Amino acid sequence: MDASQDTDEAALTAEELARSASVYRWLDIVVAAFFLVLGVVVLAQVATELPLMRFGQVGPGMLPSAVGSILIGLGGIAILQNLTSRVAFSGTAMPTLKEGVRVAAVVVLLILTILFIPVLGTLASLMLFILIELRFVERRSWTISVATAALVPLFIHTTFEAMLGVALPAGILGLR
Amino acid sequence: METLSLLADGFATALTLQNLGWVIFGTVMGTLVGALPGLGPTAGMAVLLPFAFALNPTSALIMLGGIYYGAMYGGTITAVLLNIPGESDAIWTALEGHKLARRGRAGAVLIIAAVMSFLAGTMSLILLVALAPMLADWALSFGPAEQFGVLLIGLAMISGFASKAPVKGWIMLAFGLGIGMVGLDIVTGMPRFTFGSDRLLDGLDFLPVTVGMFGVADVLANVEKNMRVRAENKIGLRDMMPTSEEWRRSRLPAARGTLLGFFLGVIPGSGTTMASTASYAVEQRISKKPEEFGNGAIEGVAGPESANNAATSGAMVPILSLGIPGSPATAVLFGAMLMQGLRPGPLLFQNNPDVIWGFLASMYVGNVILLALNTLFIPVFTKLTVKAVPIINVFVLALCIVGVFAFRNSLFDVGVMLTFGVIGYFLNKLNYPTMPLILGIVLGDVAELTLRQSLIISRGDPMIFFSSPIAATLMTIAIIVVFSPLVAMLRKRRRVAAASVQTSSVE
Repeated sequence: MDASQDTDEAALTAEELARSASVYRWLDIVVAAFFLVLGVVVLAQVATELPLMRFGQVGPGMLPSAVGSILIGLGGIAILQNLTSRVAFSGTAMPTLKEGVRVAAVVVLLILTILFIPVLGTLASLMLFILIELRFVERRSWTISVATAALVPLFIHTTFEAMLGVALPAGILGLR
Repeated sequence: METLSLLADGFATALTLQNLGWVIFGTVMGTLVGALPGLGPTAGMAVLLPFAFALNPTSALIMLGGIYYGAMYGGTITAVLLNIPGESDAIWTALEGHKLARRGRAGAVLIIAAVMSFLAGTMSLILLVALAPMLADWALSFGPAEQFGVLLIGLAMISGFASKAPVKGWIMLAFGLGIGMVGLDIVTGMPRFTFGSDRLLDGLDFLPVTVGMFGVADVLANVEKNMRVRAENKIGLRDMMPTSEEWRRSRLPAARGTLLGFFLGVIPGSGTTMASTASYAVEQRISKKPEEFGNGAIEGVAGPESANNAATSGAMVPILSLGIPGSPATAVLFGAMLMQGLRPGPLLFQNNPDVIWGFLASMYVGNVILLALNTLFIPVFTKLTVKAVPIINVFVLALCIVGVFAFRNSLFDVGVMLTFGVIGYFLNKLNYPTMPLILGIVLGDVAELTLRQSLIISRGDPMIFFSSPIAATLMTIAIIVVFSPLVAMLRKRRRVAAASVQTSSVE
């Protein structure tokens, strides 16, 4: 047996490694900045709504203030480490445009599925999601895609509705 | 004697038809999630958490535990046959086992791995049963200050040592604590970080966040790679019998791996990967033929496989006796216990002996089932793995959506799950460890409560954390653990600076 995938980390070329390192650094900065901003939001709420002390005892703002301070401090350090190139690139392959589009497509499909559940019902929405995801995102054969789109909702109906008694949301058409 | 009697009661619980069914279900699912590339025990447990919620506490723990240790067996299949370590703890098995598989020894390697894993699992369970109740008895004398010290040590070890970048570990812990704080304050009832939304008054539940961070994030990573698996070799019955030489060479590495794995597993934050890596390093170091390592050494499979199985039992010691989950999978188990109304920690042995002893006994039963599954059914699991790969992503996503919805009949929770799935995907890419985040969520409430209780008792005097010998020792250890990564970083920087000064003076 053998396994293959579009991106093979072991076979990354020097050019791909340089691209991955650059994407990694900028993405790391963005995420660290997100945590820093989150820390500011936390401290702002502590300052306006959550007292540090209440009736002479530790108040609901004490731990959040520590959390906010850690997020700001360490978020700042993480940004500085990236800007001064002190973060060692681990060699993790960053997605190429094609791979990124594939991930984004699945996320969009999931959002649409969640939005369609109250309209089409759970099982019909899942059926559509599975068919589109397998056939057009993962590019599996029609046979696998259609069979899976039929069998997985059937499995879910059997386990969740018939066995566990969960009432899955029905759509406006009355379908489960 | 009392322990043996309690264990006997545990076996009576574990061997009821219903619980036996859940052991079999858990171990089969565990073997499958371990065998399937891109899906590990934590993701498997997270995805099946909603099922656990529908069961009674004993059956829920038995099922989730089965997935956890079952995955250790299953991970070997993909590591040996596909050269894909399903989990990071199987990298050494992939390195050595796959080379042996290419020489036609795949079946024999899998049999040795299964038998040694079984022996390691059994031995480590004996250690677990001996150690956990003793530690729990000792921990019963802890007041809030001591409890806070223990929690601080656990959180610090996991955040500081779980990743190569301690800064990222601590950020994730703070993020997790922040998520855990959303909702009503546990002492005063004041809303925190709800931003006026009624939905957030109940807080962000552990389940959608965990399913998102582990289940959805893992699937998104799989979709990115778009993995294809094709079967080229079949394992014949004749290939499945190890030679006497292979058995002989595996015995001692397995024994060493068991002890090493168990005691490393006990340390929060070390996990199964450190156990298998340490075992591999030891075997390579003491081997008379170290040149065989990297080219297909059976010792490099037997040792790490025993170590990672023993580490799963070791990891149960801190969660059952002290209430500290030491690995992502035990953090999910911890959350499941809370969801079931159990309070993990020393009181578990006193308040819920039927649950806890039933769970421990089920681990013995599960190991026997896993030995049978992973010796007699290797070809079946191999075929199932290859067949399941094309559909696993959509199957897991569908289970995540329906499972999270079923938890509270809330599509909002499904949205939270998806949000954290995307966040988890990016954080995994950037090597942010997810374990401190989950721990922050599950332990945040308890840590804050014990901190505030301690300060209420002492009327705000922080010296309460040093008032008893146990509390003072625990706090000192916690402080050392918190600052040791910083000290290590400064020492490394000084060494580098000294080396560069030396180089320039030579020039």
